[in-house]
Order: sequence, then structure tokens, then C-alpha cells
Amino acid sequence: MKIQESLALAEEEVNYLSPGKHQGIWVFLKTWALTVDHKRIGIMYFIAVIISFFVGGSFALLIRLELLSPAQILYTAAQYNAVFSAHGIIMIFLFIVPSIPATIGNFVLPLHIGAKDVAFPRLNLASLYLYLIGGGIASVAMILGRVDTGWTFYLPYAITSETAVLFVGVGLFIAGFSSILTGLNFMVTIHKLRAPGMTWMKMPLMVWALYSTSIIQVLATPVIAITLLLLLAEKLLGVGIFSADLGGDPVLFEHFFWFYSHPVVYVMILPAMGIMSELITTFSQRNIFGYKFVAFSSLAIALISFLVWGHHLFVSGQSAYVNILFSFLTFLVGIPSAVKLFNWTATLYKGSIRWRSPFLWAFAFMVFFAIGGLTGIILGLLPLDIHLHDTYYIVAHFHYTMVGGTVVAFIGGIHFWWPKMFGKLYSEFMAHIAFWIFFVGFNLSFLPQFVAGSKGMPRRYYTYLEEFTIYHQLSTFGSWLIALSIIMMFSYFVASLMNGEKAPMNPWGGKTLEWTAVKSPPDEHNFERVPVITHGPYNYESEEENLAKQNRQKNRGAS
Amino acid sequence: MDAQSLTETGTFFFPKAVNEYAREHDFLHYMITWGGVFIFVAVVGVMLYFIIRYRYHPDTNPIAKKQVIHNLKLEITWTIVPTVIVMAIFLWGAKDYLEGNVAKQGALEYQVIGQKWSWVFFYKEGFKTASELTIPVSKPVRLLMTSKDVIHSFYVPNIRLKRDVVPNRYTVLSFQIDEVGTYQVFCTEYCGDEHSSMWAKINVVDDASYDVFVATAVEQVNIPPVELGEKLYRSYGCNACHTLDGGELVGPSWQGLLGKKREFTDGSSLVADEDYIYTSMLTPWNQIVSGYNNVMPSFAYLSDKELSGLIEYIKTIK
Repeated sequence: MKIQESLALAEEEVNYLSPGKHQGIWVFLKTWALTVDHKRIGIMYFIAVIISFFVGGSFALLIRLELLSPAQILYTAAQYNAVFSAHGIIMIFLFIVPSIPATIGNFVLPLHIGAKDVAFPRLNLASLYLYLIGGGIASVAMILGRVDTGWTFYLPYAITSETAVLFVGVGLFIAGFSSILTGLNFMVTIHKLRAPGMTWMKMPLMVWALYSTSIIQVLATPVIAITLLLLLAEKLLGVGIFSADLGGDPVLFEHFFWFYSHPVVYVMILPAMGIMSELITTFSQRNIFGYKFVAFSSLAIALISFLVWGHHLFVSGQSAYVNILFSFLTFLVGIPSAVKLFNWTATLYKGSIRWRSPFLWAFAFMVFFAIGGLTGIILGLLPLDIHLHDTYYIVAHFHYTMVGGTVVAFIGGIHFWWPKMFGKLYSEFMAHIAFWIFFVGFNLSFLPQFVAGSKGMPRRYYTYLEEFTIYHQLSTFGSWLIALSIIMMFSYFVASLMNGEKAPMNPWGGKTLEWTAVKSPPDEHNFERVPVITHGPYNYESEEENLAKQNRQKNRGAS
Repeated sequence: MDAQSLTETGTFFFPKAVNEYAREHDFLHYMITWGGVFIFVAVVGVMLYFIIRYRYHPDTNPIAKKQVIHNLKLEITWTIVPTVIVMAIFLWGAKDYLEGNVAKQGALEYQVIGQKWSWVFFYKEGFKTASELTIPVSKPVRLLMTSKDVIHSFYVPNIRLKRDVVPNRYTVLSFQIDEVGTYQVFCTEYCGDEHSSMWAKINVVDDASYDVFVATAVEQVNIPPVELGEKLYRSYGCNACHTLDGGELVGPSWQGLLGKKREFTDGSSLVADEDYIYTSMLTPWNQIVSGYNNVMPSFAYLSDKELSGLIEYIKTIK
């Protein structure tokens, strides 16, 4: 018996998931908790952000449940306000911001550039712990106590609020360092650890996207850290920077807050765009159309993103000319986004397109992001924004970009890299069904909100005029479909882990290094030997090239 | 009077437009929306065409037909064209916005105070109204707004305008409404528990009715205290937190309040009398009844007459 067991162990493949596997729970936990392997850290981030997603998502369902009826049905005003605040804070700070860079980014970045690990593996682990500690403090504060300020913490409301703003502030301050350090780590990794031959123009576009993201993380996150610190100082010591009572200016807080929080929406969307470039090239078996345009548009977005925060203050009373300037700059950021969309579409041209589950999500991204982007043009227009500001139109717009963009790309990325992460395949059939339920549910949830908003329905209302009932009910029904789809995904991914079919090294026919030179799941040190790069990331062959090659071989055989 | 319905009047996207600015706003919005729909259908259409036309097939399309990796002319075109389009849109929007921002000569001025969770309007004739602003039709008006506590935002969907109301500074909203009617006002900057019911109405009346309104309001300054109190109970939103029938809301009910023993969170207690009610309206945070939270703002901005009106009214609720 013993011999058989050890024989089975010996036969079992060794990969990055193996260490500590058969040595009891404590050794197992210890090897994970003290690992410096970027892949394991990515997986731990993955588990943590998924928990955040489920908690934040449950709050979303609770919001929608209350809004089934125009009158109060489930909670008091204070409870509702705590619920929507928790939804926003958890989803933004603890889920979307770390979702793609910290999970998929950590797992894929070193594989993409042919490196053994990130530049500072221990710093990487420290970042994870900072995220867990900060996120833990904020979550416990929100669930045991409550916070009713919304995720924006506008003053003077946040000062007068007697809820747990202090602890949530401290938690987010700590979690912010995780973001800064991850960005720093990725930048150094991309600069210093690329495999021989991998020039900047030969990097996969995901790497360009992560690089641009890192710039924003490193430059913008300290601003929110300082702002939160000032908020705490104001609350505890009454220093009089923001408080009107003490001669401060509450609008100054809005400027500080959005100076971080606008760029950070690009921390969310840029890595999503990186995933898109990978999905579209792989599933159309095509080299990307216009590599340089796609790569540099990421950098352009990162830079312009710092200049547009003022469009969140169009109705705050700032001067008309400042408003016009910010409106102008806001339009500029739309251009590189449009260029990306055109390039992805052109990449499909003459491809060989596989309608597989990751590609479905790429398709959904393009549809949702087009809607989010075009409504963004409307919101950039001053007279239109003044009407739509703080209504459900805004709510719909940012859900189309944040959920329809980032979350959809994240789900697509998980479907794409799942076989590489865990070495298992999942049910393609179930994945298609879950996708279509999501697609319908998402549109049902958020399309009616565009109409409700432009009809005048303000956001953050727990009771509302009866005439808006139908729009809210449609949204709530949609939210149930989204929940159903997420539960389905969760179950087929768990089923895949338990008894999924073993994944081959390259299930999708990808051309980047993680598919061509790394096992599924990868070895602890990723590559057997250091890869040497001689060509671009997406060197798919065309029919013509293939024919020419076959002809050459035939001729050789004939001669 | 109830405010005009927002969803059942007007067009698919908007409540009824009641001035020139709102009509121009709607025209701009519909132009951009239809343009957006056109671009969306075009891009997604091309995408779907490619997806279907170039779908994988083991026999006819096993690998990509062609690897088109670059076309500078095309790429420059689809960078320049959107740039030109958005710049044109930007200029159009900026022009409309600036025109809407020009202050009109000879506008009627009103002072607006936002406070958790009601709006108060001060008229130059020396009286004020709560939750209801009455203005004459087709006359430019100018609202000079400020807040007593946190940031609020004054939003009138029918004229497509909103402006934040900020403590420690004045903000201005200028407009005119060309149609007689009652229009909804929302608070759109989150301001706490009763944010969702921080509503007001704008009554737009013809000139003759406006003169009558002002004359009666000036006269009404002599209304009996109990009636005044009852009016204030509703218009200042006391009813959002205090019931008259013993029901539980955010604050204690007013039923039989006078003479009732009150126990406070700090352990002290007293029998409610006029002085207790008076100080509770001015500095509510000093004595919090056990079982309730410290949420009530001060109503120190009410006149002595109004305060005693409220006290007299509370005395009548048995």
C-alpha cells in the first residue's frame, strides 16, 4: 500500500503547485504563505479578489433588491446607504483595481517576457500581505461597523458621519501601498528581466498594457494615500483643510480625490485592453493589426488620464473656462481608446476565428466598451453632463466601462489562462451558456438605467418617484441573471479543478511564450532553458506562407 | 400640487423641455446619441461580419488567410477622423454651455439654503418658503445658493440644469422657465440618510398669480402659530423623521410629547416641556433620547415665531 502510494506520487507531475502538497495541512499552508513564486502569489491574489467580488456582488444584489419598489421595503435609509457604500468601496478598491494586474498580471507577466520571476519576489509577497491587511481592516470595519459615505468620501459629509470612516480610511491607505509596490515591481521587471532578444517592440501587448498601468499606479496612488491621510487628520484633529466650518474648502477634497480616482479607472481598463489584444490575436490566429498604434495608445491613455479629473467637478461650481478646458482634455482620451477598438476589429480581418469561450468575452468587451465609450463622449460634453451628472446615466456608463470592460476582460482572461494556471480544462458548453446569460443580464440591468438617468432619476436614492419603478425592476431582474451566470461559472471552474480533463501545453494555439515554452501548469521556474526571442509575439502563419513552405518542402523532396 | 411627471411627458429620453436651453440641450443630445448609435452599429456590424465571414473551419479556413499587420494610411485615417469629430462635438458643446452660462440682465434673485434634508427659499420681499419655490413665468431668475452643512446639489430635470450647493461658498444657477407648471427638484449630491427625499418643487405661475402669491405670503406672516407649526412640520421635512401617531422613524414620535419623561443616552432624564423642545431644535446633539442616533441638524435658522409655532403645534398632538 505504502509503496503504491509513493509510486503514484513519483508518477505525479511536478509543477509550481506541487511543493507542500502531500505533507500535511501545515506544511502546505506554510509553503503557500511564504512563497515568493509570482504564480502562487497571483493565485492567492486571485482567491482574495474573488472573495471581494462575491462580497461586493452580494451587496449589489441587496441594492437592487431594495430598489424593486419605490417605497422602502427591506432596509432603513442608513442600512441602504451602508450597503451601497460597501458595494462601491469593495468593488473599486478591493476588487477591480487589483483584479487584472495583481492576479493575471502577476501570473502572466514573467511568462510573457521569458523571466523566472518578477524583479523583487519578496516585495511581491509583501504587496500581497499589505493588500490582505488593508483590505481586511476595511472590510471588517464595513461589515462589523458600517460606512455610509459612498466610495467617494466627500467632505464635509465624511467628517460629520459617525460611521467607521476612520478604519476604512486606514485600511485603504494600507492597501494602496500594495498597488504602488506592485506597479514598481512590474516596471522594473519589464525594464530589466526581458529574455534575450525580446526588444520593446517584441513584447506581447499585455506587457505594454501592464507597463502603462504601472506608471499610473506609481504616480497616482500616493495622491489618494495623502488625501486619505488628510481626511483622517481633518476628522481627528480638525486641521481645517477641507472643513468649511474651519475655513477649509470641501471642493479641494474633490480635486484631490479625482486626481487619483480618474487615472485609476485606467488602472482598471488598461490591463483589460491588454487581455483583449491577447484574446483577439489568439482566437483569430492573426498577428495584431498595427502593433505600434496599440502599444503606444496604452501609453497615451496613461498620460492623458492624469489631465481629465476636472470633469468630475463640472457641477461643483468651478469656473466655466476650467470646465471647458477639462471637457476638451476629456475628448482627447477618447481617441486612443477608439484607435484600439478599430485595430482589434481590423485584426479579425482574414483571420481564422475560433468562437471559443475566451473569445466570446472578448466580443462582449468590444460591444460593452463601445457603448461605455460612446456614452462617455456624451458625458464629456458640458451641457449634457450637467443634466446627467449624478443620475443613473452615470451609473450605467461606468458599469458599462468598469464591468462591461474590466470585469468582462478579467473573466475572459480567467477562461483563457485557466488551463495554464491549473492544468485543467473546463466545460466549454457550460461556459457558453453562462456567457449568454451574463450578456443578456448585463444589458437588461444597465440599458434601462441610461433612460432612467436621462429622465432625471438621481443616483444613491433608496426610495424614488413611483414613475421610475419599471426601469428599476428591469435592472433588478438583470442583476439576478448576472448572479446566475456568476454562480454557473463558479461551479464549472470548481468542477474543472476537481475532475477536469488535463490541459495540453497550448490548448488555444497561442504564440506567446507562456503557450509555446511553458508547461501547463508551469514548472516552479517557468522555463526549462532561457528562451531566446527572434520574432514578434504574434507570428501566426497565413495560408500563403503555409503553402509556400509546403511547396519548398515538396521541391526539396523532388530534387 | 404634484410636480409634472418626468417619465410620462417629453420624449423617450427626456422629461418635457420647458425653455429654449433645454430644447437645444435635447437636440444636441439626440444628435450625438444617434451619431453614436450609427458608429456603434457600423463598428459592431463590421466586427460581426468578420467574425462570421472568417470563422474557423477545418477544411475551408483552418488558418488565417492573410496576415495584414500594418496599414499606415488606414491607421492615420482612423486616428484623424475621430479627432476631428470629437473636436467638432466639443466646440458645439462648449458654445451651448457658455450661452447657457451668461447671466441675464435684471434677473429676479432668490436665496437658496440647502440643509439636511430640505430646501429653503428666501424672497426679496422678506418672507421665505420651504420645499417650494414660486417664480413668474418667462422671467430670468438667479438662485444664489449655499449649504448649512454638507454638500448638496440642486437639480431641475425639466430645465436640464444642476449645480452643487456647497457650505462656505455661494454657487449660482441662472435660468428662466417658459411654461406655467410645477416642476420637480432633486438633491443629487449624496447627503446622508434622507438624501432620497430631499425634494422641492418649482411653481411657475403667470405674472398676475405671482403678484397674488407674494401679497398673500407677506400677509401670511400673520398666520396663527399652530397652523404655522403644522405647515412647517411638513415643509421643513420634520415628518421625514418624526411621526404624529407613535410610529417609529429615525427620530422619536411627537405623539403626546409634552409631559412625557425623556431618558437620554448620557443617563440623564427630564420631563419634556417647551424649553426642552426649544433647545432640542437649536442644539439637538446635546440631548439624545436613548435608542436614537445623533442625526438631527440644528434648526437655528428658523425665526423665533416659527420655532414657537412648532412648539405650539407639538403641544396639540396628543
